[in-house]
Amino acid sequence: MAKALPYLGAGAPIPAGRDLSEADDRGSIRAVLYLLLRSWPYIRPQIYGRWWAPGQGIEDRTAEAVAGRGFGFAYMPPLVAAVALGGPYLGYVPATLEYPFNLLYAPILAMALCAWPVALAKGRIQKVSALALLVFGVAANAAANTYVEGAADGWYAGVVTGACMLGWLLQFRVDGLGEGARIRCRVRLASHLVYWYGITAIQGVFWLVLGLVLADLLNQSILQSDPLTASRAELFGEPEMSGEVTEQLSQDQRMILFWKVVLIEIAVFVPLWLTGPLVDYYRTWIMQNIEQDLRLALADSWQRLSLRYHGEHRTGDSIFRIQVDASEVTGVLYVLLAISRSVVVCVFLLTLVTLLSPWLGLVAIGGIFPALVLANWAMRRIRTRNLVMRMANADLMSRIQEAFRTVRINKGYGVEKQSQARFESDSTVAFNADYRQTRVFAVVFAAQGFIIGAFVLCGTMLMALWANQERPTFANELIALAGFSFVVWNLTAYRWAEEKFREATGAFPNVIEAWAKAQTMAMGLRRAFDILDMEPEVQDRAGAGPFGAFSREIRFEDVAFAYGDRAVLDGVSFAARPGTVTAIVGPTGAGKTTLLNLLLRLYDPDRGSILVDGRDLRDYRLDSLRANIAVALQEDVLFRLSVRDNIRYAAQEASDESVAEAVRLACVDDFVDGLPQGLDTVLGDRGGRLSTGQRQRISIARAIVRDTPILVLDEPTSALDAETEARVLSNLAQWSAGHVGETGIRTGARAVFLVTHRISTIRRADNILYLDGGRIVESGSHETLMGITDGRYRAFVESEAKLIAAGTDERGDA
Amino acid sequence: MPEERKRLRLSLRALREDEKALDERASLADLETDIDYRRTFRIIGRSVLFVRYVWLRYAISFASHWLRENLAIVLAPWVGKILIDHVVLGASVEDVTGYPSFLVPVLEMLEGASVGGILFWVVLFSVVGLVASLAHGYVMALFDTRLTQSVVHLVRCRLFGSVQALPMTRLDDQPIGDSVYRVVNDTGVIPGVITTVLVQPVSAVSAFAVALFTLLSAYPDSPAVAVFAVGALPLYVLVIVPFSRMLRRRSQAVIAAQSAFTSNIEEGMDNMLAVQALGAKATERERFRKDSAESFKRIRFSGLAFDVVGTLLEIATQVLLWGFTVYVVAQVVFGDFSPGDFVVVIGYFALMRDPAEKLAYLWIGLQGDAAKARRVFAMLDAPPETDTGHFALPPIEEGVSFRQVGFVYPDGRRALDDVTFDARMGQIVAIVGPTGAGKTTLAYLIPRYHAASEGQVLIDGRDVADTTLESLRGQTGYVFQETDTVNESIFENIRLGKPDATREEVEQAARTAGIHDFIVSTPDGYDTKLGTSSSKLSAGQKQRVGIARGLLKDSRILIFDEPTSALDPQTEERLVNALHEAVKNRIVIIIAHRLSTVALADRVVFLDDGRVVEQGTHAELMDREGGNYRRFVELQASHATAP
Repeated sequence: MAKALPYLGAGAPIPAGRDLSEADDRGSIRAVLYLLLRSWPYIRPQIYGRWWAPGQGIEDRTAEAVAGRGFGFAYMPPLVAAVALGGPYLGYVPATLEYPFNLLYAPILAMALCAWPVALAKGRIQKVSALALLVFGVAANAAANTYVEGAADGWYAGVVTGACMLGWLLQFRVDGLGEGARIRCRVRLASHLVYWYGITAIQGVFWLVLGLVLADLLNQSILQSDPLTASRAELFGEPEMSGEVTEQLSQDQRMILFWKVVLIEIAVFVPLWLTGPLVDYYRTWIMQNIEQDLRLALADSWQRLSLRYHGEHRTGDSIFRIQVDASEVTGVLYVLLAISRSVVVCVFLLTLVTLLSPWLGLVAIGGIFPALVLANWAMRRIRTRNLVMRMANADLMSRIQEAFRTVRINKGYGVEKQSQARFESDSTVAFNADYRQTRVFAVVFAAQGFIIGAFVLCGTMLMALWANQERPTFANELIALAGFSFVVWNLTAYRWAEEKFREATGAFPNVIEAWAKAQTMAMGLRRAFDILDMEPEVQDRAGAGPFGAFSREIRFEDVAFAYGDRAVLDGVSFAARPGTVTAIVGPTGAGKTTLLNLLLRLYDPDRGSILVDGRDLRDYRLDSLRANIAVALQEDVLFRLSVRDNIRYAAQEASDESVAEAVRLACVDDFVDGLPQGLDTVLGDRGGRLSTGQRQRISIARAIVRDTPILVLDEPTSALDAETEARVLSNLAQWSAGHVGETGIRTGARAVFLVTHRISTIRRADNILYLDGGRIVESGSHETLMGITDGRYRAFVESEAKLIAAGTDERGDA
Repeated sequence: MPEERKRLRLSLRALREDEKALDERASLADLETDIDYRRTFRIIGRSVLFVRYVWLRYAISFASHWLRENLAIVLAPWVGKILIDHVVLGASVEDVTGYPSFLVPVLEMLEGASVGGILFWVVLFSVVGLVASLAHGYVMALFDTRLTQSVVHLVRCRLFGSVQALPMTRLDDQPIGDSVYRVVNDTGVIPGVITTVLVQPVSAVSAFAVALFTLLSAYPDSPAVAVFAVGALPLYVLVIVPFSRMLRRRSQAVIAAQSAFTSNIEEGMDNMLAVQALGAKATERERFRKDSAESFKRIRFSGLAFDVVGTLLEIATQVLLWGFTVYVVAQVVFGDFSPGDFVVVIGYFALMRDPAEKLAYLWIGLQGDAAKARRVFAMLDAPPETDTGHFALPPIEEGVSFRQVGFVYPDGRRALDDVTFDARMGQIVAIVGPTGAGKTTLAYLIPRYHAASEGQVLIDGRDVADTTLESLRGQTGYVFQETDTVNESIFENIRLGKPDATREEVEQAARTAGIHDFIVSTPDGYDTKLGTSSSKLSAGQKQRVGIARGLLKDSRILIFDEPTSALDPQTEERLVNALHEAVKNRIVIIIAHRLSTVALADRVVFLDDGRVVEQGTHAELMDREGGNYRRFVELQASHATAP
């Protein structure tokens, strides 16, 4: 097994039918972006949050993007204007438009202007201006924290932004007019992603303080005894260390300053340490909320899909889609942010480099073209290979699930080796598919490395040559403005430019890398969304109502149904009234189970209709319909829960008394006391520790406890011995006629549908439907049907009687 | 809601209890989940031992990465130096010193070259280096992928085999979803453990040693520098050791919750018919939501635990750095070190601290890995179905005898007690009795799906415990009460026990089982692919596939577990006739309730509450006034034949 995979090489080709080629690719930039953006409904609640109003608590639904339902925030624009003007007016920030303050005031002004349409307009204008407000807000804060020195302007930009945010967070509505008018307010809570970004921004400021200010102090003043700037000296409360007072710091002053630095560091680190893990926890929690929403959507979608779909679908595939594919939904946030950040960095650095020499800019931009060619080659392949890999791994998961599911037959028929071989081959296929994806990525890395390497080399050589010749730089005046002094190419300029050039050229491939990762995420999301997009076959009709008390009859009218090409039911008509038992009889494959499945709307009939009290089944809401039908199946499934919870599986609210009653009626009490913890014994996988007969009785109890007007029994007594069966059925007969009243289970007539082969059971039915080849051949009571000479039912009963008689007589006499 | 609020109380003991319950929910077959230090070391050691199957690949990978890194470290800086010294600054080659001796031939070549010439050589060398390093990166990325895959493939194939080989009694306790999770997810941890233990410490320790040596030789007068650096190690150990168990437990809870969630999806999806038919959508949704939320919660908890310990490590690092900085700054301020020394010394300190920190993180990471690896080894070590047999059973000639056989389930329930009976070649033996009497358990003992707890099951006078499972099961065909289908065509499903059966044979068996007509009526006929949870076949149809499967398999002992419960009388009649035909050179053991089936047995064994209450021929038992069997027959006959 260790040598099953080669040292290198793609191994055997992926089996046909499980492979895709580039030609099968359905993706494009647009399609991928669309897939990524489809995550938005799951991310949105974490940004928009939910409304809280005094006295009403927090709402369940997600809040509107900006405002709605009559609430507004007209107070916001004046507030923003006041704060924006107040800063310079009160002298908190210098009232000047000189560089770099122009970079600060321009976005602030734009914010103050945008605030008006955001608060007062509606619809698209409001959305667009809100977006603009957001962009200007980011710009203003970025300018305040990077270009403009000092803390005051940072606070200023922060407060203006906060004023804008306030309108988003706190909104008012005036109810009524004149005297009786009341002002109602609401507060936006649970905007977790916004809070989290806010917290990380604050943490970032802390790190900035550490990185810039303190490092500078340590290097310049403490290690080299340079005096402080006047403002810093004041800040530290040591005016005598200011450069205006002294030329050089003394040893003592340096040590005092050092201890202060250590103290500040401690003051910065301690809150970071304390909050760090909590903030990470918070982030994880938010991301998990997003993922959980998608998982639930998937589960709901699966529940809505009909059995026709589930018959074709493999269980392992569903596990894979929920656990692996759906988890990509949170990655979208990171990738889109990473891409936009890389693009911004790339453009910014390219501008700087171009200022030194437009040739360098050209070289760097030149790097984009081969990268685009590479992307064009790679993305299609990444998409298809990734999809193939996901399918191969989902297949492997299905293989494992199926193998363990059928382990009994594998043992019974000694085919464990074949099962193992199939697993090993699927495992190899999955690894080969993985390898093929890795290979595309490896090509991308190598090619990208070559492109960057070549262009960096080009640029570096040019710069080295220019530095050798001490050429003047291109826009040296502008560069001086930005605070640098590279008038000619020299060692410093070379070092600085080389670094920036390297970063700029490196940023573009970063975009490609992130984009490549986005392809794989999009493929995962596609597999998740494919399930969500599936149109459920069985749907609630528009205007479908709840299933009320059923009082008159259930009627099948000319019902036909086919699985694909194979007709199963063909023109079935009959009626059943409450308080009656309808037995459905016929050879295996006659369509008995299908008939009951149609009643449950597990499928919809292809033709004809099923009416309850004269109303089509499709006009009832699916949930309420199924809530009114209780079912016990021959191969019924128990879950890994206690006996009690299995009985209550479909009736969570059932009281202990009704459970006890159901236990008695279904004769579960015959064996339940023998279980280690009685009703609270947890059953093994699929109820494996019980015999089939015991499981069948639990599933009958499960149906009884639901106490519904319609009861469907699909051979649930096949594994019971005659005595137990007789007891269970007579209990059921009493119960369905409504005679068991004293114990709290509702009295009232029920309609019972019963599929069975046992004559003893069939005979008691009020109406017998003999089904063959998808048609009702005979129907009526036992006596009526027995009265038909050469009748099918009669032949059926007689052959059973003959068998028994043959058994009793021949053997008995022998 | 109140339940959830109760959970919010911060109590470590409550947390542990929750996690214990979670382990039980994940798998009842693997409950000894506690791992102390010794077990952790053992698990890690055993994971590492997997390296022996792929040691050559590891050796190649390690050597190749080592070579590449060191070549880069040795060569790369000099290119930059040549560029700066001789191109940017324009110094002539002869004037610059400080090149290592191996570069002398290169420098001789560059002597007297123009700036353009030097640039040319630098470009050439850079391009060659770039291409070589990219090619190396490409090849090694693929090589390492295959390496990791090989280990995982090996482990997961073995694990798959181990789970398949579990005894039937344990499989009831082992949720399918949990097994799936183990094979798919838990196995992936092994290659990581190998790298963590074998490769990473080597580089960390060597980096630490080199930095320590350089620092000591540069500042021999300041031993405090070295003391601080070496002091890092014990400090880290102090920080991480008290938390390793805590981290392991939180990681275990994560996997247990994930596995329980997997089982939940598996169960729900595989039984969609039941969920939809029962109208239990809301229940299932709630179960799904809860289990998913639970797994997320455990991930958060464990993330928080790892984060807190990581922060403690950070604090230790920072405190150490502060202490060290105070010392070095004092040295600078009071004139012993220059400001330049500060940068160098702090730099070396970081060089030593980083590997120490890395080692600490390795240990932390291993705690999570150990939690996963434990689950792998738990299944690998689980006792398989004990094939105690040492001799191959020759074709069965005489028959099966039960001698005072008893059987007790692992959970203590007694299923059989003192069962004695014989089944001769050519006989049909019916096992009859009320539900839960132990009929299936009894039948399971013959092909040794269960091993008898007491007494002996003999075939041709030999204890089945002594025969090899292969020879025993090769001669027994078992038709289960509930037929599972494998994910293959109907054709393959029927000939599962006889893979070389011809089309004719398969069709013949299908006819006898009364399923042929149905199969040919489907669009794809015998090639119709069946799933495992297939809704394409009704329960009765599946049962017929199972019967056809059993009939087709050439076996001396044919066991039917309630084969006729879902059959209509016509098919039953055909089957019964076929069994009469088939029994001539076979033993047929049939568990049945139906009188029509039971009545034709040569021998009837009536079982009640795990004991043989009556046995004999149908006639003998019918003669018994007030006998159990007689009552059983009469009850049914009266129902069936009464007008």
